[in-house]
Amino acid sequence: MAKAETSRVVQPASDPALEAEVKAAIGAVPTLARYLLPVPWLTRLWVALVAPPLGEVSAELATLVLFVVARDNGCRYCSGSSRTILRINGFSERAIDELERDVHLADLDPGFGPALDFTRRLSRYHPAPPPAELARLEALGFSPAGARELAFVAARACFITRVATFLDIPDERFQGLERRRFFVVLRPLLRLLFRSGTSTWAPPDGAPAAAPFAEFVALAGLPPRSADGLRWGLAQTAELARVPARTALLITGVIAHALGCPRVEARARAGASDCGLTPATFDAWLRTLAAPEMSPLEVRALPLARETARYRVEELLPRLLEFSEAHEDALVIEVLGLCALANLLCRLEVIDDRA
Amino acid sequence: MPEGVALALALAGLAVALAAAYAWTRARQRHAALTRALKACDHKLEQLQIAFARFAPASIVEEVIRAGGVRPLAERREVTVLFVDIVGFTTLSESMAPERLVALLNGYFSAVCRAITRHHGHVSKFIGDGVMAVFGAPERNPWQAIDATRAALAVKEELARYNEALARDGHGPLNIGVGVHRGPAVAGIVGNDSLADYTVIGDTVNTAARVEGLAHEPPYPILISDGVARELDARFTLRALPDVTLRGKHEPLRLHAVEGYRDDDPAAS
Repeated sequence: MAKAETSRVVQPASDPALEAEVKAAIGAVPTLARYLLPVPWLTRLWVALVAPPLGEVSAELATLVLFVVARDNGCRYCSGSSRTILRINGFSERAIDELERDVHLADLDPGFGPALDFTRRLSRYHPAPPPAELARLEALGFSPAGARELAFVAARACFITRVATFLDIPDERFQGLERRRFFVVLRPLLRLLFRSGTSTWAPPDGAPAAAPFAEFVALAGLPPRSADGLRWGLAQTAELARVPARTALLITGVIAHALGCPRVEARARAGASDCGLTPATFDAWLRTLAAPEMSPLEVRALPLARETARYRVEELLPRLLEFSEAHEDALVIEVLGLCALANLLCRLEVIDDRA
Repeated sequence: MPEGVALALALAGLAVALAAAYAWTRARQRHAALTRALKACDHKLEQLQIAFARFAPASIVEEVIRAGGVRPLAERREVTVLFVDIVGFTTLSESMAPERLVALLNGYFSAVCRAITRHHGHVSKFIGDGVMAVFGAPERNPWQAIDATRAALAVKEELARYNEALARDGHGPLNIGVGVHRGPAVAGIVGNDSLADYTVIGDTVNTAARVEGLAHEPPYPILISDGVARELDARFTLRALPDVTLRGKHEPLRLHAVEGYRDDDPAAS
């Protein structure tokens, strides 16, 4: 079916072997994963981000972070699914409404309000929260590793909400369960089904010693399981199939340049230099996002990458549809996955600031 | 227990139960009324936030709400300021009925604002028939000079379309001048509790306004200062003009006329 007919950026796909991998890691194949299947490395990166159990941040707080970041980014898929999960885990409709209105006024555990405020600021990056914000979280009772993991959970939420928004993922089947009859009766059973925080997933072939941009994982000082998962996820980008490495590094550089993340930008510049693009050319291209020597994909992808650093869904979606009309699904997913990943890496730089 | 006492106790119990039921019902009604009032306040607040967003960026509105009012909120930033003005507006305004003039201006403002926001600009204020827009505040924008220049060209294109619509109504075309200048400025909320807006102030703003004063059609509807031109690439067609000394300035300023833009996006051609 033509994209214009469905108004979808991409179509869901099928890959039984990869679906089995996803199911083994997280117990199900969510709708979001079905849209990532044409790009195996991105599917595995997503698994590596969501599957590892968190060490310090509770599953409840992680869901709240996803909900708040999703609301902020206008991600219907993530806010809808996290709302249902919150309801299943005992949050009242009123508590969630209060949270939507103001994270400070919501009736939450002490410390959750400032934590959610921090994650929202990290997500917005307008400007980036200063390192002192992490110290403030520690003063509120978070351990140093917990504060860093919270920042990682927020960065992860930025990735997930971007992927879901950019690919315009339709609602999950379980979304809206809380509005069904018998929800209250079935809630204990649903709670068992949706129990999170009990995953035992670990990188199948162990955490790799090296991966692109892995230095940011090391400097962020994340708890071991999150760090191993992220490093493994980053190593999957070696399987980039359609987007040349140079283009991927330019996309990363553009987003770092837009957000003002000098170290991620410097790393992208160095990587592009290994691909034969001189630092001077890299800088010149970042300055203008256009050059006659750019590939046709770069000419289109770099301005789009810029838009993903900060965006309004209603303004971005027509541009995404236009981009998707001109390219095959797998390429669109790969480009947008790279944009989401670069946004995650830039937000990790904030944690790195404290190292 | 005597029968009378038991009856009295039962009646008393019933009375207490009735009173408790009444109190509970009243409390529920009051709770429901308060919930309704809270929801109404919420709705009103949301509407206010939406209305405010027309005057200041949403992030600034949120800061104001958090602070509980207008507080000093300012920072020094590198910005690019764009001014647009209708050439010969005074003569035009004197020859038109007020209602027709306002309708004409509203259409013009819509066209200009559409072009500016499409290129990441923030429309700061309307000054008579003029529009002031800022690039690089409140959000950082490393491509602000390119965005502002493309916005200037887009303003001209939007206006050409608007002029076609005006021609169908038997109205003559509007001619504009656009001036763009880049430099440091103070960005923040300026005003008091009665009247305030988010804007940028400083010499960069004054210079941009002066540059716009020199722009007119023909021959140069879009003028940019040298600082803006240095940030542009080969896609832009510029014509260097002789240096000018702007009113109130000592140093001469080099200006460039923007004549065109070539989009390298294969899909755009």
